[in-house]
Amino acid sequence: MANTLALRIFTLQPSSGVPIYLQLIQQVRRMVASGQLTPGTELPSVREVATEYTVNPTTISKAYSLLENEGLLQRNRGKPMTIAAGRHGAGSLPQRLKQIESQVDALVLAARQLELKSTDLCQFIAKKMEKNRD
Amino acid sequence: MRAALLMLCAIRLQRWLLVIGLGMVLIGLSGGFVILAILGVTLAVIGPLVTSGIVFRMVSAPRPVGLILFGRFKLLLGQLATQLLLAALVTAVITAALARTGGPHPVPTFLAVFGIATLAFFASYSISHRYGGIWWFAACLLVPRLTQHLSSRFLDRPVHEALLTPIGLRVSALAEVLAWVVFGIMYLNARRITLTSWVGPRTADAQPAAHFASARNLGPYTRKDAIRMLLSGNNQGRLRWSLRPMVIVVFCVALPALLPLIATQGRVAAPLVLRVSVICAFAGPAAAVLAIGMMRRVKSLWLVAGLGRLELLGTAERYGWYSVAITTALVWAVTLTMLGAADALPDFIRLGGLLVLPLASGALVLYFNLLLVRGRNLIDTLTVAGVTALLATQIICACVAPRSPFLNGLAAVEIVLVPVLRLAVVRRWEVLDWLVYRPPRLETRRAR
Amino acid sequence: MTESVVTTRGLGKTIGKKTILRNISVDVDAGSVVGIIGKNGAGKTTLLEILLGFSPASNGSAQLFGHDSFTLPAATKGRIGFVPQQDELVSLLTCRQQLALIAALHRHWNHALIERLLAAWEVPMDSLIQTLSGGERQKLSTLLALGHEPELLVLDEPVASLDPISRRQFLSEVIEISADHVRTVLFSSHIISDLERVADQIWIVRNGELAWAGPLDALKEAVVRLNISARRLLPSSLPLGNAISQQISGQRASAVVSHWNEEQLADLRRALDAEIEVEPLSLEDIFLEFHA
Repeated sequence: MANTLALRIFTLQPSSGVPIYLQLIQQVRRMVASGQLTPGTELPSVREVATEYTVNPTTISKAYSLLENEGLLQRNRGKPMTIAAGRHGAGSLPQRLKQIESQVDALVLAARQLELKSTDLCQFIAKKMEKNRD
Repeated sequence: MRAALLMLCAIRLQRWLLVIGLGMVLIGLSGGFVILAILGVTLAVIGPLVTSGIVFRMVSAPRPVGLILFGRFKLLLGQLATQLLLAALVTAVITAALARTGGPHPVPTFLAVFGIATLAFFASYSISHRYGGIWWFAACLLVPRLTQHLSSRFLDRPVHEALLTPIGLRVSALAEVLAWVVFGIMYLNARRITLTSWVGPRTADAQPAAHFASARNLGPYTRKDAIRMLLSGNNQGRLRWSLRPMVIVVFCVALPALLPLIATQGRVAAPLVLRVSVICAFAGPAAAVLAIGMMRRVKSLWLVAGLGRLELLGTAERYGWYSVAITTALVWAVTLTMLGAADALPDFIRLGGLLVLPLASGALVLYFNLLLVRGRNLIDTLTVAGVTALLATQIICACVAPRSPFLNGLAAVEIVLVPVLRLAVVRRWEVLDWLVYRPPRLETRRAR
Repeated sequence: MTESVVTTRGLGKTIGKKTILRNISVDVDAGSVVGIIGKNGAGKTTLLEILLGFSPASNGSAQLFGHDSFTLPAATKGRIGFVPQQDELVSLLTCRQQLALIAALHRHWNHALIERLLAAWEVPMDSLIQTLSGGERQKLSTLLALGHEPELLVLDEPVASLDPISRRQFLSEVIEISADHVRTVLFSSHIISDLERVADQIWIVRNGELAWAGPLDALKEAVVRLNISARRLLPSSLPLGNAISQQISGQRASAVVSHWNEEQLADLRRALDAEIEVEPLSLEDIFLEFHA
């Protein structure tokens, strides 16, 4: 599902000490994490943003490229850039796993104490995730 | 007082002239060479005399001057002092020089000289703002004729003798004082003194924009047209563009044509040949005055017209020559008619010399202006002094001794100098550095 | 291959006894927008004039599009547009006539663009130039340089007399021009907030030398202010390699450094045993620090 955004969703301050491309990157990251930008949402083109905010297009283009490398954005040939699918949430796979690492340690400890096998544990977890999806 | 000194010594050029002039005066006085002394003092004084009005206007134009307490009043006093000083100087020299030959009495001479100085001042003051100056020139030319005509009707002796009588002297003194008072009142009360660009006629207010637009073709200009308009700074037809030097000529003619007349109390009548020679002597330099305006604008052609430095020189040269040529042609037409009508054609050689003069001196001034592109340095200052002395001599010679072969000699010198100057000009323009050569911008913008 | 639009190597300029520029070496690629800032008299206009060939360099070289600046061929000049600080308008013409005049000197002229901008920028088309206000004259001067769509646009303080709305319009136009990364813009201005918007390269001219010639983003990341609050008394001079300025009082300090990068933070924290806040600076602050 692709929906185009209103043009003025960012707040860019050229006179800030933070370079414009960094401001843009930080804002997109935040908006994706908070769910304001859902996967598949089309972002305005580099030229549109540059014209709307009266800033240099090079800096916008740089921001978009860096976000694409991070995996947050997806380039579609001939069409505007979109938020990459499955990317809302905080960060990449290793980062996200790190966030639940402490809970997993506790779970593994408990499973050991109960002499559960890892295959049983994994099946149990998979079933729980299935149930949680709806 | 300060203003007076400023007028005399401000520009380096003027200082040179002052020194040379005073030197000549001293030599002339001590050695009894009358001509030399008069020449000297004229040289020293001619600069401030001719430009005093313009400079005065320039100095009083900026708004802050009006705000300074008694600012304008002080300026006015300074200017008056200058004029008095100049007149006194000239009178002193003339009296001393002619004392041996039973010359004129100092007082009427002083009055006469002061009168001329005043006229010159008013004239140059008016001309720097609109064409009001034209009326002054006309007055300068017509009034003497008129007074002579009137006096022959009402008085039983010519004007200049009438002026000599005590009543006459008092009247003329009174007239001069009155003139200054009136001017002073007008000046002090003027709300704003504007200095407007005196390159081209002023038609801005008089005509609505629509008329102006239709007067000139809006359509695509040719490249040549565009370059010419950029160089000259106006959009007039080619012929009208050269008429301005004629105006300058008329202005300059009125002044020295009257000088010998009054200084010698009309004993030496101004012959036709004198007037003709004066016109010829002035026309050349006056036409080349246009080159000064052009020089300021040449820089803008570098990028926009894509011309190289030597090409720019060629363009400036071409337009300068054009202006000199047109003015010379006009001068020839006028003087030949005058001489022919009065049946007073001088012999061929002298005539030839006279006619060549505007061309030669015009070219000299043109290349001389083109030469001054290296900022200030000693060689340039010396050259300026030299050329100015040459031109001044030419002018004075034309006024004082129009029949002498000296003028022809001068013309020959100029003809030789021109190609020499041109070589120097080419070499300088090959490496023209616009960061060093910054022509002053005389045009002021009209404030809303 | 992007041809370098502007190249200088060791450029210097001396007039008489004064050295105005010293050892300037820069490269400008096509598509950049270069903002030039500097104090009055630092040499900005001199630099631009030498680049455009109005004046020869005393030492070093300056090249535009691969040609030496002093002897630019006519064809190259046609690829350049210049708006000087003092406009060179002919007072007695109307705006239209002046535009027609300049159009006659160029082979290519985009009439539609000029018409659009004349209307958008509200330049009175049929008034005499001598009746225009300072701002309108500047707008007209700028238009004269835009009409032939030059590949290199050089502007010397083009917005000094313009109100904020006009300035914004001008900046939009600059962005339009540079958006396709083919045309280059060089402009010097005192209005730093404008430069922060549109420039991607910044040259800081200080005393005839380039104190910085590089990307604006890199400049903002390299010059930062460190606010230090230590747990013990700080030494009289901080162990900072490239501090531009520092103020120390007891356990608190504030220092501005150039060439900053994140790796230095950990070392510094340990060395000073302090909490350090890294404060990024706006371009105006950076400029002031460079001249403190």
